[in-house]
Amino acid sequence: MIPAAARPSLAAKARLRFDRASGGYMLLYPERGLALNPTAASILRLCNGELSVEAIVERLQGEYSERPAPEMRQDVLEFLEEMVRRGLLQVPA
Amino acid sequence: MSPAPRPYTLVAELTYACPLHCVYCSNPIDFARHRDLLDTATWRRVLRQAERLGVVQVNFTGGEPLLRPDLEALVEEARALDLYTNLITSGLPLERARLERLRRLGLDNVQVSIQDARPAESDRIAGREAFQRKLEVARWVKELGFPLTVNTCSTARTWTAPAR
Repeated sequence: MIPAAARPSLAAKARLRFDRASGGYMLLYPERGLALNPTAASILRLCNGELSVEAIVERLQGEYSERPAPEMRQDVLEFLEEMVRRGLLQVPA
Repeated sequence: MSPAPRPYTLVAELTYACPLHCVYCSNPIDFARHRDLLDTATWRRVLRQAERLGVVQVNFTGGEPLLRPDLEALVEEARALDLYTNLITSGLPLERARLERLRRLGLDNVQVSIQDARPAESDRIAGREAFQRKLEVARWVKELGFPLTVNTCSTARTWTAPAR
């Protein structure tokens, strides 16, 4: 479980990049890449090692105001945990 | 409607020359027939064309890509195109200063081949003494902040005694 005060950042091997062929964002890492949907890209763009999970959720509320905060926090946490599980995101203890 | 098919990765085999002679390698060894390498300007053009086709990642390999003195220029071109840039190497011809230079130019990832976890067996497969050098290169890769990938061919021989 990622604490709300943690400040996630991309793993050293992962690079977030705009993909002009699709108009979306991709997360690239050795010999692999993920084509991100808009919400995934919105979250990862905020994972800069400076914003806490709580701050990321707050920022996203501005963008996706129709989603209630507790549900959004849950969505974001599940996504971040999946990224950590794949070794693409680091969350300092 | 599904998006148009596109390539994502370019595998750029810059040269067939290699200091290793691994027993299982598919690389041609009759170099004389393959002497005409693509020059720097042509590779630059290929990189630009690949990016236009949708490629987002380039693997510089060979042979041993470090044997090309223009590797720096090609890494620079790849990064100017915002490609995720990966070097696949035996590690042998690498100097630390050159790795630092490649880091500054934006190389994203380094893959070092290690033929076997056991030094003697690794050198036997590679056809020369190389194991200790590879470990040293792997250390530089980590020290300079690169992500490190270790490439090992799984064979009946390497599987009988997995790494401890």
